[in-house]
Amino acid sequence: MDRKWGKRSGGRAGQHTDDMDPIHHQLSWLKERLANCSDLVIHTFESRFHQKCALVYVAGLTDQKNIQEEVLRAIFSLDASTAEEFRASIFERKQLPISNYAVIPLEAGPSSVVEGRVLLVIENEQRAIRFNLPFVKGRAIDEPISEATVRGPREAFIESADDNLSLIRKRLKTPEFKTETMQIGTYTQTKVMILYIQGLCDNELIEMVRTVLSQIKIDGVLGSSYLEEHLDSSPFSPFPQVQYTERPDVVSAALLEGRLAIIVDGSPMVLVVPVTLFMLLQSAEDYYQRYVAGTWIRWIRYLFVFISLLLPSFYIAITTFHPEMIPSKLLITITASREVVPFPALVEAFIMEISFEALREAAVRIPKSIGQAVSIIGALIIGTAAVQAGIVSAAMVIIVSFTGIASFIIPHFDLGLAVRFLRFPIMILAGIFGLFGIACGLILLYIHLINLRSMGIPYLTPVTPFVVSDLKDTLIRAPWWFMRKRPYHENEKLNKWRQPKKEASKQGEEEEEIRD
Amino acid sequence: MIIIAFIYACLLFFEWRYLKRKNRTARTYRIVFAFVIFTFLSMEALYYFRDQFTLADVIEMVFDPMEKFIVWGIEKNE
Amino acid sequence: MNDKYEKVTPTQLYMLFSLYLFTTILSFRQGALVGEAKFGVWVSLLIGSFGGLLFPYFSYRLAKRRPTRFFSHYGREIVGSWLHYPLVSIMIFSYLFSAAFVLREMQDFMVEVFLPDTPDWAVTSIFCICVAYAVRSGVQTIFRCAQGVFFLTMIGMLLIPVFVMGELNKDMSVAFLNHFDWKGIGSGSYLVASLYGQMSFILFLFPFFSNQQKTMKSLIWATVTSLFIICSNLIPTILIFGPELTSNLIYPELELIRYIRAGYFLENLDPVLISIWLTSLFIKISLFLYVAILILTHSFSLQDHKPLSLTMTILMAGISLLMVRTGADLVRLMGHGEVMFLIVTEAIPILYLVVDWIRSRLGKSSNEKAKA
Repeated sequence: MDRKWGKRSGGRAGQHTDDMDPIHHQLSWLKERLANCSDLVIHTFESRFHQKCALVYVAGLTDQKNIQEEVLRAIFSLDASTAEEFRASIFERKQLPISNYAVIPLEAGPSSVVEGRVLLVIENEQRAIRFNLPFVKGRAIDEPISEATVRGPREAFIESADDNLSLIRKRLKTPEFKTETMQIGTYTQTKVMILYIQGLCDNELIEMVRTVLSQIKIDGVLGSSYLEEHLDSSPFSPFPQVQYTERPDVVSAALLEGRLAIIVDGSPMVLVVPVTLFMLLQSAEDYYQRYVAGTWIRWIRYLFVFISLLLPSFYIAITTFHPEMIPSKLLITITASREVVPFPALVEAFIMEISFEALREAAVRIPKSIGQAVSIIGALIIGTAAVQAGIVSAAMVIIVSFTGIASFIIPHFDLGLAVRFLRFPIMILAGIFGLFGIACGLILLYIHLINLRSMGIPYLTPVTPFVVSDLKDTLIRAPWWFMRKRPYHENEKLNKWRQPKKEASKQGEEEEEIRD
Repeated sequence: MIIIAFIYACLLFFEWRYLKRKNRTARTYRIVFAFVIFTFLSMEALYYFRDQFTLADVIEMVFDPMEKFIVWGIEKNE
Repeated sequence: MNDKYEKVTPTQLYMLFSLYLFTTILSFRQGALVGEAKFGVWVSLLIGSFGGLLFPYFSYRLAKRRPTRFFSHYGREIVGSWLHYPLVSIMIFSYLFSAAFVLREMQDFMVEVFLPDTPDWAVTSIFCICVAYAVRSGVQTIFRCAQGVFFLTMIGMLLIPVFVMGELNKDMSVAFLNHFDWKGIGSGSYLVASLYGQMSFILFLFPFFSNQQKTMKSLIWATVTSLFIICSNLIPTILIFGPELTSNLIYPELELIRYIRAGYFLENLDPVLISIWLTSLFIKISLFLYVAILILTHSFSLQDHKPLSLTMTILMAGISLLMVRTGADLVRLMGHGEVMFLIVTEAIPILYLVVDWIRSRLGKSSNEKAKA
């Protein structure tokens, strides 16, 4: 029977399968639970007191060198005179010179092993020792891919939750910075951490997030986007209600504003709630530049959001319904270029836009080596050829390319997707009703945004509901000495002031006078 | 007229689904349906009789004499 | 974060009513107003607006007596069911009709000026989809809508006279101070009062207000702001076109904007006008419709206004398409009876206030007699 067990487990060398082995009972239970796991290692040995012991671990998740040097050496060099004392010093007095090991019931053994911990099993003992010696190969901390800045820090999150937490912890050196951990996913047991600064973050928000996350019953959580859909209040809305970022400085700033962050193990994107539309239109670079530059770029960004959404629709509406609006010289040029096109403006726009979307999607999968060449081919040759063949007009090519460029200005990718997607219904409305259709489409969009909430906060704060003090970070990027209060919160008890009030500076002045 | 009926049929279905989702009482169902039927009939009536009379005629008939009375009264005082 | 209790702040009230008040007067009533009052139009605006403010004031007094209850619930306690239900029906119909009226005016404008080949019902339908969405979302949405567009609209409306400064006939301005046709001014005031008095429907929205004491203050400031905007557009219109032409133009504001020469970029700035008007008109129509639905919902003692909202929207659309045969009939209706209809509706809360006051007086005196 043991030989059958031996064959099935297929472990590495060093495995004893003696029927009369006192540790056999515990090990056979473990082997049964972890059957057909070829990367499982069970290393049996005898202690100095002739007690049968075994180390159980998964080869790929642990550092074998560490196990040799730390665990085995510590066990063999333990100061004890009898077997009983040996057992007691390990289990009761915790005298093994290894940090952070726990005594767990044997039933919890299998799940600990698959998490990357090392299990020490001693004969006739229903408890086991669990050592935390994970060594999972992962990426090194690198530059952010999607949120590059010129002047700001260049660290980005990686897949390991603990490393991500350390990146934030080294920026927020306060005991008020709290982290709560939970495990979500029946099969993946993914570590999810909720981060907030106590005293700045609303307790209701923390409670809401805690409740939502604890109610998630799902097979596996493979990335932060799995949780994002549960945190959305309106999952059918195209607009994101949860922000994600790969920059630790953005997360730290968000936490200091009283928001809440969620780290998901295995994902380099950290979620931040709650979020407003204007926060999604901000980029980290805004805060590392001078405020004049920051304000200017912010305005350009707002302008281009509108262009990205509305430019093709305006073109369709004006050329189809309101040609009297265009100055006469331009009107002649546009008419001439549209003369040879057999389709109405709406159909032309649709053809171009859909081709552009296809190009964009394909570009993601093109290998880098030919990516440049293909984009040049696509843009110049196909575009020019299409115009010359009379399928589309030159003006339309310009409009569509300009719109495409405008859509890349939006810092948050999901919001950019939403705007791209919404462009099409508004184009249809423009084609049927002209400028009136665009206005109606915008009104519908506007009402939708007013109704939308992110964790209870209206999406269009601070424009509606109108919070004057927060407009200084929305319309413009006010200088730092201006931004003395944190963003508006309903809860009066929270600490509102980012910077101390003016009295402190007056005191300083007095002291200087005295010194003089 | 058929289009109006079609629109109202869609509307009835939509509201029925909404009420069902929110578990409203039977009384609510009755009131909502009765009101929908009432407005449907009024719409059809308005549409059918649109050549004979319009709502504007009704309002003029009722309120114009009142207005003339007041305005005439003001004119008389001057 | 508590949705159910999210209230309307005085700022939102002020912003919404500023937009609401100037929009129909500037868009569609300039012709009628200037036709009546000629150069004295500013006087009739002043008299009419502050006179019209009396109606919401009385509504406010009535609402203050029971600040947390909705009118449709306690109305029948005051005058009895037999009188209350007919009066409420008149009010519901009046607000529905007003919404349909403004919708019809907007639809005529759109089809005539911008979309000549589009059928009426298509324009109305697409607009009603927007209105239905807003109304179904609730009153807070409508007020927040107004808040969001307030500044842009104000800036837009105030830029218009700035751009036409060059075209004004300044010699005519003296006439504003010495040409007074009191009969015309009276008729004009009457018209303006009916429009400003429509604010009396705050009676129905009173429990939604977060700071009920400041209601009248918001309304007064809204009146002042709207008067400023109206005058800043109306006076240049008269100075450019003269009162006779203005009274004969159907859309003087449109013609005013066409006078703006914004350089060589765009020949005319019609989209500016469309966007400003459309949003303000949308808010006005939605609010009227919402009030009608609210009264209806509370009269039926239902909790949720959503099931009835779509029905009423379709009814409003139908009424707006079928209420008059042609646009000329609409203008005729304005001059023959519409104003009276509005004033009667606005006066109904005064009736309730008077009856309630008398009843409370009688109640007090009978209590005193009982004690004695």
